[in-house]
Amino acid sequence: MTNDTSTLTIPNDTAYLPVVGAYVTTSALQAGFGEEDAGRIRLAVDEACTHVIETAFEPGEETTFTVTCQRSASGLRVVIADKGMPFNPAAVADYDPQAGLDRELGGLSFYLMKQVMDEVRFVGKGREGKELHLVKYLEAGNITTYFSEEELRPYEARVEPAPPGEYVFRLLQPAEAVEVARCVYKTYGYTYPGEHIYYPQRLIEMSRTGEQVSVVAISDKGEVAGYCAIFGGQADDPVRELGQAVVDPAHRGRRVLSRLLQFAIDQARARGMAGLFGEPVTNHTFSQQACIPLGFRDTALLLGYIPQSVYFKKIGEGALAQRETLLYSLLPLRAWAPAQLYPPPHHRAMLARIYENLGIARELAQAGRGASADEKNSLGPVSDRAHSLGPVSDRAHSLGPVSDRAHSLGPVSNRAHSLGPVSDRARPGARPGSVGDRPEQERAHSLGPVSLARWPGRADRARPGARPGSVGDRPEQERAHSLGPVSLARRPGRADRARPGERGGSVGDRPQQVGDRPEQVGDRPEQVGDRPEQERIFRTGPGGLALQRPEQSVLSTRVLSAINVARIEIATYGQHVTTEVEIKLNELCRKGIACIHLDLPLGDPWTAHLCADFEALGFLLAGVLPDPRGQDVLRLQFLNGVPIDFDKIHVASDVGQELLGYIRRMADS
Amino acid sequence: VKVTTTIDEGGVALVEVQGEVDAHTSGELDKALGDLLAQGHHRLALDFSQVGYISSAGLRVLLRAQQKARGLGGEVRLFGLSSFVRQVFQMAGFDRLLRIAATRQEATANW
Repeated sequence: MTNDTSTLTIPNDTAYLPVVGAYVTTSALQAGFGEEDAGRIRLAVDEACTHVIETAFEPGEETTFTVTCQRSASGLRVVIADKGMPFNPAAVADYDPQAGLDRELGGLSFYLMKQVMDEVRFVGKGREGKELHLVKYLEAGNITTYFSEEELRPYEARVEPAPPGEYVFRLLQPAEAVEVARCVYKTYGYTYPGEHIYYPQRLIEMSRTGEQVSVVAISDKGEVAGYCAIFGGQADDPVRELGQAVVDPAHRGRRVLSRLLQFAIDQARARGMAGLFGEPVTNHTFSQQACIPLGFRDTALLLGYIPQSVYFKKIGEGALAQRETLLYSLLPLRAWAPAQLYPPPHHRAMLARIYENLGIARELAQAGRGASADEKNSLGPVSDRAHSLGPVSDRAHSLGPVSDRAHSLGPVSNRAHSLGPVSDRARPGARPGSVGDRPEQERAHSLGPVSLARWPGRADRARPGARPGSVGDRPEQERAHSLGPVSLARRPGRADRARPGERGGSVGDRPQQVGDRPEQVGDRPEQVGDRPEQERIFRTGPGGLALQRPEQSVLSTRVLSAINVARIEIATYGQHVTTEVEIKLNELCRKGIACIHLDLPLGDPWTAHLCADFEALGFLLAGVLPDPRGQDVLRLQFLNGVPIDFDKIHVASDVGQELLGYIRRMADS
Repeated sequence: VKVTTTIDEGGVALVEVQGEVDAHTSGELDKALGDLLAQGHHRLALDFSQVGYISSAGLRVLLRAQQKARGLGGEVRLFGLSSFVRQVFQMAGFDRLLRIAATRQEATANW
């Protein structure tokens, strides 16, 4: 792979666009594309670079950015990476090629990128900048070009069983790829759209390079009796999806599926992977039942996540109306790093049950003892203190690690009564120069969590600054600024930059829509892997005090257009995160996205406090997506007018059923 | 890019464009067309036979010129499009906004 990767670093000057053009054209030709495709790829990259040069930097700022070309088995990936301003892809205008002479050209650049490329995806990296990934696949012949429609008809329910015999389980051999693709198509139709599985040539290449681990069951007559694969994400992701499983109906009822899966699991283990996950359907429990004895444990229920099976010929005929619910089912393959997590108090019991069932080391922070069930945000004793300071729920939000806070409640509330002095005391650590001439009271809010000093070494987790939305009657905007000083001081030249959403309205249309692979854990390393610089700054605030949430949230949105699902991932909670999420949610709903996931970092204490705010927007719990590095995610889900018939969701495992009942009760209430 | 203009007897401006039109070079084309329009030339026939590449920045310039030309009762036409440039026009739906003539004769006649 590394031999196939090269990077060009260029100044942020449009004069260098021809250099990029020559570089990308050459890379595309070397990757096996024809002249015409190479020209089109060049156009997409040119548009992307122009956008970076024209929007990412301050006027007059002289810097560089990079263009990386990565050739893979299936095509070419071009990554344009800059350390400039953030950009909100969801704010990009739509472009209408049918419009008249007065048309808006704001979305033209991204429209062209999407026309040309198979995938256009933004990856926000917080303070590290951002990346735009442009992917073009080599045309290698879709399975529909290999067979007639008749030969691709869905499997009949009843078929003549194959004569009894033995099966061999092994890795896919190239000659079998076409037949495998056909089996998958006949089983699933086009429900893995955008996946390589429908392109036998890609399947061969990807299996060869390890991008995908393809396993087959071969009958003693040499037929492909079954197939499954470890796929998605990157080859070296610690957890990848196990799926695409098919068994030819003539060979069913002979434990072919479970033996296929076991063979794949052995392969994963041999490759040192940390785990596998599956996303079994819930309209029946056959695949779930195959997974349970292998050690898979349900950790989330994804309501209405995929369109019902859709065949090519049915696309566009309204078959998308009904949506199917999947389970997220995980199999850890080795011991995972222990982690401290901060579940929302009201979901703690359910999450504890999920983790206990899964058997990985997770410490779930306790809510304050004696918390009453109905105080879902405020944590027991905390509410006493809350009275002295304002609305109960607001105060509760400002608490850091719940269990620790509970012990230091008394002193905190004492201090809280005397806001002025507190701010004075705290002020030396807060970079006076940056506090400037703001009114005393504002500073008081910005410096509230004095009690953190009581827990040396814990400041990094807490960050319990006053929540902007929570304090009295000052307008949100003003309060936001009152919390800014440290971030302003520590981020020269950046603090005044546009927040996502303020920029980009004029630029392009909806690039994030294009990543059309179904979601995989392995797709997330960019966001989850390394916490942005921005957050680290706050962990090591002046005077050792952790102060407050950064002004700006670090979140990314991705739309999986093929299944009409979007995912908002929060890496860092900013002061206005609820509003930011609400705006995004509204945007996505307006675009008609059926199902919107919100992924919250469970290792961040704010998750415990903010989850209920997101639920108030209409999100429901989905469950957890554990991570071998401890960066577990709490997933919430929002259904945009998608009807869910809970009676038609069939779940085999005990915990899965508990989760289903739990979510159902929340949905009903 | 290199832009060369000749005005024929009928007052049609024949604009020969050479090179690649991207975000860097589109400014020159913009200025050349803007100058022509400012001088009252609103029938513009653009010879694109030596343009191998165009990005959205070039399309923006052409749209702006077409808007102005139409406002003056004229029009911008193009001829000699390479297959790449033609594709970009089609993708962007610009073939609906600008007349793309097959030949110079077609582009310069019948105003």
